[in-house]
Amino acid sequence: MTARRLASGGLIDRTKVLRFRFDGRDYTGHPGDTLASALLASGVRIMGRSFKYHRPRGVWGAWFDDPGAIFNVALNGIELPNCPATTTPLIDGMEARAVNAWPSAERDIKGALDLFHRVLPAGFYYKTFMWPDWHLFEPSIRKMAGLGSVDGQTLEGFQTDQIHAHCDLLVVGGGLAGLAAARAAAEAGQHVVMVEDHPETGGSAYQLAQIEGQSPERWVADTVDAINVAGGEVITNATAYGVYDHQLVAIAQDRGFGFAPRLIRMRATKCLLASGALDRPLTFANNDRPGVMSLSGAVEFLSRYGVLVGDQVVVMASHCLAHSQIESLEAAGVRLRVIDPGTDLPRALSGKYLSALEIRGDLHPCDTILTSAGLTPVLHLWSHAGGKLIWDETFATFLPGTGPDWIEVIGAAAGTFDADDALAEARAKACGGPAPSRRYSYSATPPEAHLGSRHRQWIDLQHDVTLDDIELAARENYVSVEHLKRYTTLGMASDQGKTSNIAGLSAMAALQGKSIPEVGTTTFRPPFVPIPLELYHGAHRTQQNRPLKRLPLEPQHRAANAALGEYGGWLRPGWYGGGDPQVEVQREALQARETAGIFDASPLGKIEVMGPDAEAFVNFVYYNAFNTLKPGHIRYGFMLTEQGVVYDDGVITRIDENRFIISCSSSHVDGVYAHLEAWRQDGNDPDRIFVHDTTQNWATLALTGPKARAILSKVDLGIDLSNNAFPHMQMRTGTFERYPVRVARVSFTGDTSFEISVRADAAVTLWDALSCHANPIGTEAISILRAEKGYLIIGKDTDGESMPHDLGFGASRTKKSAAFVGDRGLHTEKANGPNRKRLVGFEVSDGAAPLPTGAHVVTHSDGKQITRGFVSSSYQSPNLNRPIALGLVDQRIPEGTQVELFHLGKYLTATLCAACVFDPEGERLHAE
Amino acid sequence: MRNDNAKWAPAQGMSFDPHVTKNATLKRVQPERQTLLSGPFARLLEMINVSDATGWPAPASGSSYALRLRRDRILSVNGPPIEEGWHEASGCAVSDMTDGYAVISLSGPDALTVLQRGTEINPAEPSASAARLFGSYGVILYAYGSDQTYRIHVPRAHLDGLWDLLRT
Repeated sequence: MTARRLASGGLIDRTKVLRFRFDGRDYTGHPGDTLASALLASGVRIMGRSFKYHRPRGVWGAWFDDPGAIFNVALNGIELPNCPATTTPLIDGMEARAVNAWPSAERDIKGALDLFHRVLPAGFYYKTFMWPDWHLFEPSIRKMAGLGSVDGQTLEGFQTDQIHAHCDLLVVGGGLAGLAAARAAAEAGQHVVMVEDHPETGGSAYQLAQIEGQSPERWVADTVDAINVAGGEVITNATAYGVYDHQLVAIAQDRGFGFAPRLIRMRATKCLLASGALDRPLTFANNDRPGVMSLSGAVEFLSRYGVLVGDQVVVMASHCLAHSQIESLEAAGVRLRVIDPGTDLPRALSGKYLSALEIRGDLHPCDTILTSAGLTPVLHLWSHAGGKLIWDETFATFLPGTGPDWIEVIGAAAGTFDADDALAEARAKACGGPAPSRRYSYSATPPEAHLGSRHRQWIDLQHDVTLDDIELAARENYVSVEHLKRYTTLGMASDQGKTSNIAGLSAMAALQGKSIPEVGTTTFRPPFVPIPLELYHGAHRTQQNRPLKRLPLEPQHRAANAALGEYGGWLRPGWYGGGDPQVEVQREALQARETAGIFDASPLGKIEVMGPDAEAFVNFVYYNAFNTLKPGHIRYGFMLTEQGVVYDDGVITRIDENRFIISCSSSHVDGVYAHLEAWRQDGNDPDRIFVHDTTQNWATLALTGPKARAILSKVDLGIDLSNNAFPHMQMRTGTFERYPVRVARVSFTGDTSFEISVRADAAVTLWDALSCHANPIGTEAISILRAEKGYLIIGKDTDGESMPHDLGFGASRTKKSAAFVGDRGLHTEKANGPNRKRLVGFEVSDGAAPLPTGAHVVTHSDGKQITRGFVSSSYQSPNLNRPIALGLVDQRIPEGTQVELFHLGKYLTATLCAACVFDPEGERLHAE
Repeated sequence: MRNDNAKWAPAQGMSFDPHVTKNATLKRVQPERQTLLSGPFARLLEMINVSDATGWPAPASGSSYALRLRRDRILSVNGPPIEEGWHEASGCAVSDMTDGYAVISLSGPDALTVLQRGTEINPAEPSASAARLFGSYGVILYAYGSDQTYRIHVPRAHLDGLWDLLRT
């Protein structure tokens, strides 16, 4: 045990002891600890295993830059996977176990895989598992790969809270620069929000002895107070993880273990990015051994958690600011030796634990090696926002280049590593001024990559990407950094390039003899840190996930024992009665033919088109001619896409010279409205045509059946319902109670039908008036009735290629002289090809069961089975007492042909017939 | 054929009881008349005899007012009765929408925060239009009367869903 807790120092509360378990063993920590700091203070070095070789992993960094210690954590019956140990606050009673390791990180049985590392280089599975079939091996490989496992239990109440917010200035990062900027801006009168991902603000400020003459704790507290007094807002435990279009910054705010984070969608007028900098790892032999750590990480463990990461430490640092960190470690009692590796390759020696560093033949005993090959500004969000990165030779890292005006980078993220310089820069930029000149210079001289070494040197600690893998990728010509990343998995998973990016780039640059800017860098994409998918989910769940539209008469339908289901975005009655669905639906379909049925048709579209150009417009957007439609009359029509494919069908009523009502399919109302609005604004004078969707202002009840007229006549509407006065395909207006009423004589069943529309508030009164004379029928029965007549449901009995002439409506294509949407599409070679599918009916032999919907009509040629069409609708007809079906079948197969159908491995036979099999003469439709 | 009765909580029809929490109150408002008018904006205002139409954040007030939905469309709330159809003289189209939109009132100190959970709304950012997307719902949202009261017009068929979203 080499690491230990100091008796004083840090931000932890030593007066309280928290108990927890890791990999089955008991440990303790204090409030303010993370799981990693508490384990480190307890002397635990191995906290995880690497992704591929299952090499032991300790912690590298002290915060989001650690790729090694990832746990499944359970508390109070809740288990969460993939919790980074360095960012998970310790809570009493936690039970943690390392992911990707069994039985423990210390004794992982799969650690034996490392013995085979020579045959498991980057991309080995691309080459190795090709024969006989990759998919044969895929399940086993996927089972072995990955990080934490999900226990399969649903976390009740694990629901994110999403909120939109805004501010004048968003400061990302509550360290020195962020705090100073937030205070300056708030005191200047700006509406400031500052987010900090730690539970406390301050960032790396606690590593300093003093800030502007104050202790770090005092300075941070005073600054936060000043921000609050000035009206600013400080949000802790909140990580800005992504920047999206239109200056949207996504912030995940932790709400405690077991609770989904809150998503703050922050729209900021201006953003200052004060996200700090990380240590660039030094690449050397065996640099992945537990005990090899970031120098900054070690100082952070000391200053924040009071943990000394080792007793006997070797430091290899390649930048000029490392001396102050080294001094603070020495002051805390670390026996420390600083080594300059120069051009030689150091090698970490270890058995179970780190024992020495070897360089130039000399052994330097140590239990910990701290490294920093330079400081790397954290510029992920800058990159998300579209900011460029430019390589600075002196700094030996990427710095922010040109970018959008609304976001600027300050502090260490901008390369301003000195505290005094960072404070001056932050205050200036917070008030819109230019950054003052830096008083202190910084330079880094990271060593060159040692290519061709026989020792393994790690580039990506999490994914086991070594320098050998980079060399292999280069040999195989994966020299583009984007290819390199995907071939080797460099920088993937939770690391997202934080530690591995520049090390990988410098290796590839050395391999190609190029500079790093010439090699390029990969693209940073959100999220910056791992976040649960629930964060995006929010309230869009259960009934709020694509919410259905609800009928005004739903309570009445429920009272009538309706079985409700989704039909085209509405919750509608499928059938009534509460009995066996098959029996109830057959009963309703029979009843509607024998007497009458009431059908709730409220979702049918009622889109009004008004204006002096309305007639020409409706004539243009419909396939059928509407310029000849008289007021009070109704006509059926197809709406086509520009390709000539049927998009919707409906009935259009002309109210007067300048006003039409489009009654489109229930499920297509929103789409048809958008279609109409789009064409209205394209090539038309928008002041002469207006489109209003009034669908939901109206409730519609369809009364259908031979007794429909007799029943409706019992309701006083002030309308003559006789056949002569009110023929099929006309509309009349009247009054019901005190409400205006529209009655359309249209039919979707082939029987005499009336669609009665009243204002939605009057729906219940109308329902009561009609339902005492006739029983309701549901959507399923209507589907049977319309299929008996061969009436279409667009999208069910048509597919993405169906055109009007395939459905028996070819006249307009050849006769309509005015232009219409889809006209050109109907005259293409494809539209007139010999193999088009047309609408047909199917007849099965006596006693046969209904055909399965979706069954394919097949023929055989040269030993191959060829699809010639399919069954689109199929029912048992109670009125014909036999199965009926509709479908789309190759038009070259004539009616009367017996065809073979294939469905789920079985063959069936049927005979093609006309689509309409009930009352083909239409006598019932026009009956007195 | 599926029976999803149990999956969907019964719609409340129009009989919603007010939902009151410590800092926000949700209740239904039932205007006597809602009229959708489209045409040149100035002519629309003339037709219903108002000087302007409410967008965001300036509040509507009184019992009769107009809401601007887009440059050529307003919703008149409790305005004068106007015959439906095309009005040749003014070049405006008129449709009754009294039952087409359900209206919800949200008031109290937390009202704006509740709204900000469903939509990006900022009193400092004005909009000529009161039409917005709130959660999954296309609504008309505006301030009404005092600065802590807001009204939302939602297509009637989505009233249950929006009520549930606001309530939770």
